[in-house]
Amino acid sequence: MQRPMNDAQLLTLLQRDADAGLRAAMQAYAPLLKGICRRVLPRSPQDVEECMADAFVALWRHAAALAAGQVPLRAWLAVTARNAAINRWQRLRREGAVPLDDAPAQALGELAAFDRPTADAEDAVGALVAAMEPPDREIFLRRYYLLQPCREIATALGLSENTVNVRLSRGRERLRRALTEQEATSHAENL
Amino acid sequence: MPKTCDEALLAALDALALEENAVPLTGDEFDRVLAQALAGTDVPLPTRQGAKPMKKKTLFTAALAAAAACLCLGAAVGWLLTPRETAQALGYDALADAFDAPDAVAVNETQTDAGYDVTLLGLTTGENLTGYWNSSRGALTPGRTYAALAIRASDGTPIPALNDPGNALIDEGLCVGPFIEGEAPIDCNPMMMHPSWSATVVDGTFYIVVECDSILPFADRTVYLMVQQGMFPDFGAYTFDAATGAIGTDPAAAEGINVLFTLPLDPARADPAQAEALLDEWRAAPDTGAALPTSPSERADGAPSGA
Repeated sequence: MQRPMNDAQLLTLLQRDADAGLRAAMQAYAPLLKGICRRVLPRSPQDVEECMADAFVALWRHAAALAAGQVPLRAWLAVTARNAAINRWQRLRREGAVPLDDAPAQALGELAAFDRPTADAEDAVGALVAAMEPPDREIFLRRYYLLQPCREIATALGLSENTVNVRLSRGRERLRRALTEQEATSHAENL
Repeated sequence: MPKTCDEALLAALDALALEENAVPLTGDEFDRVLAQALAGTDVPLPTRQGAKPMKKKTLFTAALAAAAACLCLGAAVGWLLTPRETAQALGYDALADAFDAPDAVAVNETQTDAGYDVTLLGLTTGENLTGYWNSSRGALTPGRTYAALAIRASDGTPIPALNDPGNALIDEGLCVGPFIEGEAPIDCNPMMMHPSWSATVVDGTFYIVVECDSILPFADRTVYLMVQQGMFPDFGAYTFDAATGAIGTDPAAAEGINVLFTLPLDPARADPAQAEALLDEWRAAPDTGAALPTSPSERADGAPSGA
């Protein structure tokens, strides 16, 4: 029986043999990426496949840097696929190809309130989320990075759905305040 | 060294039981996604004798057949195909016409490096003339810039056909595309510009047409064209003067071909507003959405990479 590759072996293979490396990467991570992309694009299986492919091409392109940085591939691919799917969803939305009552709309609308305005702000949001105390950190990661429905999060963490909603709401407010303070500090330093 | 924000986020995510989000793929799904992913890499696709030369949709690097011990007197002659003939050899009739248009630029500049003569034959810009499509291309439609190049061994040894399995250097790659004055190569490079290429070998000379989003909006700056041997671009092989924005090659930093052409663009065709919009779009490309490690060699200013 073939032993599964670790991330370092996979990245080495990707740089040496893109075909074999992509096959191995897909065997290890494609189901995870499909699950994440499907949450954003539940009615667009073709778009899901294209976003997955985009994520694996990105993996191939950045293999050397990922290897040098010892970046956890599973998480990096999850975020990359999630971002590709959100970009696709936003594009489809602009083109009127996604119904307004689409399931991910609420989570992505909440996201838009504090996420992705600029690359720096996105980075700051990531840092603030990573610095949250449990269980808020896991709730935020599940909701906004893995796009899980609140009910699913509640079940996984043994909380009520209402508790999850309240924690998300309070957490978003804290994030907004923290980002505003950072912005004000940065502005003051530039004066 | 403190962890960067990106690393902290990825570590937090990695600590979760991510597999509970997994949804198995069918065999057909797996094959389709793999085929699409491979189309976005530079894995050489085999070509049949007499078939259309190798063409990829979203490629940026090309497997380059180097000189082998096959004597062929025809390879040493001085003539090269014109940009029009190069496009025709690749089956792009609309592009061939565009290379003859009044605003096309015939360059015919040759640089020699690592035993190869690299000739930039010419440039043109137009709407999508090769049927390029990329699922991640953004909302802007700035047109496409096309460059035709010829590469041959300086000693006249013919370059074998692309699908020649006996070539010892076939595993080498070739990265071709623009840099823009004022933008550090690590931050703004052809990988972001929706690149594609097509190549063929005619009479022992390697011809390549490279395309990307139009760089005409940047015509009031110096725009360069990098040609570098290697499967992955080595941006450390280029110097960047942050004060002047000038980009140059570092001859000591790269093995194989590493040359930089300056593109003769008409500054009157610049569009600074569209240039800024393009930069924003390129930086927001979906494949750069997840964090990459930041290291001093990549970003001297210590800023988060984000790309």
